[in-house]
Amino acid sequence: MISVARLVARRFAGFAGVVLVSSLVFGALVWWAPGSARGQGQDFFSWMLSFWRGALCLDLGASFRGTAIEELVLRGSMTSLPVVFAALFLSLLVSLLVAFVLPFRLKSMGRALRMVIHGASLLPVFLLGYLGLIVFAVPPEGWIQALAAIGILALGDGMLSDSLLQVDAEIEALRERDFVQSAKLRGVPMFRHLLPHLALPLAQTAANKMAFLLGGIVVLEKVLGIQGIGWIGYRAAKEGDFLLLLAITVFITALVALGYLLLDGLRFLVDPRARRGAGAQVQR
Amino acid sequence: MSASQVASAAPIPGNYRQGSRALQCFGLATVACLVVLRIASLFLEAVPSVGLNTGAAALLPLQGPDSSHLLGTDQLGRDLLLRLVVSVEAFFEPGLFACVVALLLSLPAGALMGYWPATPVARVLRGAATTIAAWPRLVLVVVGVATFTAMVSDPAAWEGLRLYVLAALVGLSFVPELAGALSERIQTLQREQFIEACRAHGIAERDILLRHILWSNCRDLVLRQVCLVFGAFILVETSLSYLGDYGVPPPRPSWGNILAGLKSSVLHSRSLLVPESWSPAAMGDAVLAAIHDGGLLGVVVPSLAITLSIGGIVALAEFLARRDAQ
Repeated sequence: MISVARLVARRFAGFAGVVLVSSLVFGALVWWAPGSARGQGQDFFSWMLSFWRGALCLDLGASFRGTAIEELVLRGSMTSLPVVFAALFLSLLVSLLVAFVLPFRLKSMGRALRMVIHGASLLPVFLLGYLGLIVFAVPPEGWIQALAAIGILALGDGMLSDSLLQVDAEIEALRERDFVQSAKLRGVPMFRHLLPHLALPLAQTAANKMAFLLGGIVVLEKVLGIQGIGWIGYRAAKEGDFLLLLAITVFITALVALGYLLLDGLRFLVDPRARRGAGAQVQR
Repeated sequence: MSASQVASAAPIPGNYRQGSRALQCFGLATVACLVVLRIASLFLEAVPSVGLNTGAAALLPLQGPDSSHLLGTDQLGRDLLLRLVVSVEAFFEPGLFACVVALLLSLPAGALMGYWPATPVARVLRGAATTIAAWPRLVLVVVGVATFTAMVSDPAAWEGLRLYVLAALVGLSFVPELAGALSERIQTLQREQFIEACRAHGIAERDILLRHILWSNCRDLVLRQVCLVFGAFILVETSLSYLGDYGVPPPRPSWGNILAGLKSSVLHSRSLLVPESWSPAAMGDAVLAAIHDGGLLGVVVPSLAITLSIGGIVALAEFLARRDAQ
């Protein structure tokens, strides 16, 4: 029990460390920009301390346009995060469906579909947004725009291709395991046995792709004109509103680190080997 | 979160192991094309119709393709084909620089983390890799380049350097992936018998690491990552050039800003593309009208160029991954 508590504390310390160091690095970058607090005679560490205090109390001050920074971050994330999570879910779902429903045994169809997916996924997000906007006349707001954004983010920049490759690899590795072979010999449906064992690899893929999608959303929101966190961040960078930019960057970094923390938690809950390993690791 | 988790060392499914020769050919052909285009762009920069010189005589805007201008002209009357070729300079050298940055930072870090994993330096490096892995690539690039642009007094005079800052940031963003993959590989290799044999023969640790591990067994892994860095740089550069603030600024051409410049003419093409009837002849006429009067090729060709370049580089990376897995 003590070892578990220690491990949890360790993981939380790791999460806090990532956020802290990231805010220091980005803070140092922003510190050197003209118009930052450096010009007003403040020293770096007292400025960073006031930033952290503000972040914890949800009072980071006002942006260049007069709106409270925390309000902008919250409003932007309410727009962007559903799109990011939906794109992540869609990408994994399509990968699972293709991997299960069209295994390589259905040779011509499975292979052709995979080729199409890998080829289409090569298209950059901005190009897909451009085509969506101009060729298919995606409207500047509304649910069609949201659906288009989800589809583009789930497909573009190699997102779907990577997910499919990972899921195919995991399923192939699972198919070679003894228990799956036995289940197959007894005629039990494979789906029921494979799916629970895919939970962890899928969560791992999702956590790895979070940073990727949060980067892609910056470009996509700028192209489609969605006023989410990426759009606000890009505008802040352009206008030289560096405090807002720092807040958004730290928020996005914290989200990615939180994803990895949740993955560790899930691994700990699902995989008994992780619990045993954790005990041994802490004792050592 | 650990550094090993960020390394996307996905095993290659056995069913994907076919077609390696095609991937190799496509990848190498793409690289060869890019090199040829870069050499050609050195000679084409001075041609007036490229539009790099402000005083150059412009042609008529949005002209359809003819024998002297194979892809026609853009919205400012500049030759589209020549501008597409000259655009390669926007990502060629900076892309290579991004690869060098990624290599210079990742090789020592990965070697230290893998060969001496329990040392304090390795732990610090692992922590640094974990932290960098939490930064989305495009966010890092936008913050870094925005700060750089704000710091220089005359941004127009530092445009060239800005591309290299962008390249350095793209290279940095790949360090956790490459260093993590290298460190994992080195840790696996260290348990192999041939390494034990090397030690038993009294070969120096430095030689074991450099020659027997890194050179002999990690070469394809490193080359694969280098390809991915180059491909990612093309993606980031064209994306930012399309958005227009932190990429290649006009009049210098980039595939991204060529597409952005032709946005309004594409809307015109779209209206031309709607045929009067859905017969094959009417549809063919509509496509021809969009090509001749709407500058459709100006959008289709840069889009294809971006997709095929990234696709070719990724195909080469995939081929190297398969060769490495054998």
